[in-house]
Amino acid sequence: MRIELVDVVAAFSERRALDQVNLDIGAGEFLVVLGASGCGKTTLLRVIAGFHRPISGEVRIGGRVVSGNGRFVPVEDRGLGIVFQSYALWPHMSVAGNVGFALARRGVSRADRQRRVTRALQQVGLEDYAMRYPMELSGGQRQRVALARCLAKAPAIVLLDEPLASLDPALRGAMQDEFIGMHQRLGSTFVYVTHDQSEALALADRIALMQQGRILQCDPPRVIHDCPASAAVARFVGGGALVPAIMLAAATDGRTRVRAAGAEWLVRTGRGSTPGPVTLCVRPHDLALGQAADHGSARAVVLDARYQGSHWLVRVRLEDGTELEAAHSGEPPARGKSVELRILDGWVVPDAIPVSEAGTQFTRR
Amino acid sequence: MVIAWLSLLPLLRLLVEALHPKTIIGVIASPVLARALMHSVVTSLGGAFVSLLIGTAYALAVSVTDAGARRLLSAAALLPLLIPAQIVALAWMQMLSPSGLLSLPPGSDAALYSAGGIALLLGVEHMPIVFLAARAALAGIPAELIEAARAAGAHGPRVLARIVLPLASPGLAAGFGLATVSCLGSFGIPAMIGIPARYPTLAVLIYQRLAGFGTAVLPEATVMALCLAVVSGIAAAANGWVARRADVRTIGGTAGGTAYRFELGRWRLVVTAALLALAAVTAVLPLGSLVSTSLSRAYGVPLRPATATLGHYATVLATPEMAGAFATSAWLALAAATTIIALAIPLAVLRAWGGQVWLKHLLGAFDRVIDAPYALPGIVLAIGMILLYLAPLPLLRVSLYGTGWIMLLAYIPRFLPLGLRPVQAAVARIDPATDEAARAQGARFLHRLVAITVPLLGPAAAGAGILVLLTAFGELTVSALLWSPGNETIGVLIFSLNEGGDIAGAAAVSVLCLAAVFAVAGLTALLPASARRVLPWAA
Repeated sequence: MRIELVDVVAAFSERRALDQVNLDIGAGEFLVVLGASGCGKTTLLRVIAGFHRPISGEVRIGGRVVSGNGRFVPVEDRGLGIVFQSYALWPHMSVAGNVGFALARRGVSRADRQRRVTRALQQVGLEDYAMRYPMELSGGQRQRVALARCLAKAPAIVLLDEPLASLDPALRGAMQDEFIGMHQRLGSTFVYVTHDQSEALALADRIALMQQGRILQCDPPRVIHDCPASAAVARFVGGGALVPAIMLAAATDGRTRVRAAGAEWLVRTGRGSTPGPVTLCVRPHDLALGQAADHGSARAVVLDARYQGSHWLVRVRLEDGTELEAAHSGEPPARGKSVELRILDGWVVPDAIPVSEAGTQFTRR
Repeated sequence: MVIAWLSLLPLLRLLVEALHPKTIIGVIASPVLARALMHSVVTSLGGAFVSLLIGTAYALAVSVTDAGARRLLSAAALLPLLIPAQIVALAWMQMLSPSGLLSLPPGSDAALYSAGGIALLLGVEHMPIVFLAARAALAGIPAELIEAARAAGAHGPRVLARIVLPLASPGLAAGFGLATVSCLGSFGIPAMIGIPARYPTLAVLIYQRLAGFGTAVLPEATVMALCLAVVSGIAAAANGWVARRADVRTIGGTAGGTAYRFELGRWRLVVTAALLALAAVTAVLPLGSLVSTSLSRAYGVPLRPATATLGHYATVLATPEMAGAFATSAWLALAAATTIIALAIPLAVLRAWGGQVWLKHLLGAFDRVIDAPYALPGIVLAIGMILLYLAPLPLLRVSLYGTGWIMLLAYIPRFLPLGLRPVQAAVARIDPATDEAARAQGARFLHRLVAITVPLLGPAAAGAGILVLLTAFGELTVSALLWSPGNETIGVLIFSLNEGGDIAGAAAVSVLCLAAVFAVAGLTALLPASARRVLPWAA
């Protein structure tokens, strides 16, 4: 089901938690709302859920106004599923009781209810645990019960509030698979709130990046990572550095020449950039160590190297003092050694470009 | 050791006295005892049930809804904490009398003099116990559990029935159990209502026997007291058993975070008005009627400008034995509060930080003993005190029985838990490192106690002292048996004025007593937050 937010403003006492938020979430889309704590992402979720009443603006679910123009549909009548960070399992009910709770009053027959509970528990691999109580389960099992509760209800919209934050890292990968499987099975619209960028990049069809109650950019993960719309987005997602640069010529085919850190670079740019001072976003994988003919390069001194498992992150200092990080797959050069730094790519951060123009259109994976 | 003596010995003495087979058989076989015991159980369970109903209603409104005037409703639910039981009974009698605020026709109070009437008033008096337990239980429910139910499509009543009440039920059960135990031991209400109604509870029966026949029936009274103690003990044990079994811990969630509040919508006004009306009936009307009776020229005459008089107050203040009761209650309450706090601080500190293992074990065992006099009916404690101090003290050759000191000695064990628990809680909140740092500087225990611990504990200890002071000031249960001419307490004075038919005088004494209690309670608003935290009505 489609969810639309138009100029939504929400506040706690004095503080504005949502500041004129506009968002259009397509039916069946997996949208991840990403941001640091206190950025308003949980408020956004609570506004969609109907736990929090916005001051102004409109919220539509499936084209129907659920908030705005004096109307306010309470959460119990919005027909959603919510997965909480704390699982929010009812400790006095068995696993089956938890999963079947939402079905009890929807005119579902007893046998049908039983069947749906069993199927939901099968889907999360907990069919043998129906008569257990939440206290007897491990953290990962509890979260799976919470998912089964959602699956059994099969809502058109599922809201997830940092559902992995209280699980240990080893379990998170497995649970991410569960979410993707659940999204495919239900075909529902998912809105998933997190502060963890790797979760966001792995799960999302689109990421809405939030800061101080505003959405900075809403685009597919690849666009958010490679073409950040602003310096704030570039800093929040992905590694690397922001380097001041001079754009030397107008863009052709989305590429342009810039001068930065004492060298000349061929980088990507969005529409509308004009020659003059710009900010360049350089990711570690945009740089490489060693000689090459067809790319720009610069002299640099190795400062240190940190092992990342699949590659090394080598920190170097260029001749003008700029410090950059380069991804390097072989053994890193010794500290203090002088190397040639190849510049493979970069992105001119279009601070002034409107968010909607910065990214490509949303596409289903 | 001295305190263990104070707490435990009256009870041991009681046991020795009663363990004579002939006395036991004679008393237990008597139908009078069985009937009184039955009365105690019926009124206590009924009272606890009334407490459960209204205490839970207030707690729900205050804790999980957006009902209006929540502070006022909280205050109304906690008000009975400050009002001695005999004054509650007297006030309700006045509300239903011609001189009450409602100006009801004579005889309107007939229904009050019954088992139901006793249960109703016991319920009102013990409501704060349930209210506090229910409020704590409701505050402990993570908001997510309620939000999850609403997200699953459940509307308010279903969320209340399937989620909120089941999760709060251990707290509600504990409140109900505590209220039952407390009702079993209560004396003021069953005495004021039950004696004229010829419906004596066991506590009242014991009092009547001792008041009528003196110490000659002490063995008989002792067996009765033991029966009451056993029933209370069973109730307390059952309560503990339920509390241990009800293991509904909550998972994750932010317990103690912001509590969930239901929006009542168009019901908000109805709920608020209904609960304010309940508060008016349980508190405002009775207390107002008490004042109007104390001001009316003759009992039973409706209060008009022409019939109003301050004469009863003048009489109370001018009669030496009446004015003396205020002095007696004041010094007893002050002495009890001071002694208890002086004992509570070292006890709590030694138990928490004491170095020696044997000392910790000893104080741990003692910790359980301490609760006994408080859980036991006051009348049982009083009989134990009589037995212990009736004979002249060895060496000194004076008997404490018949002096005010025996009441002080009874008050100390009776109210020690009331003063000790908040101080223990305050000790638990202090970082042990403050004490360890002083130790590292070479300070000995007494030096640390005076220089470090007492200043840190001071506010909480002061709050606890005020709690003891206010509770002891209007005390009746223990002093009803232990008072002697010249040593009447306010509780005894109100009780005997009422029994003697001077209702207006009893009302005037009650009003003065409440004025003093409310004044002190009001002054606590000036205390720092760390002291006020201890007081249930300020938290």
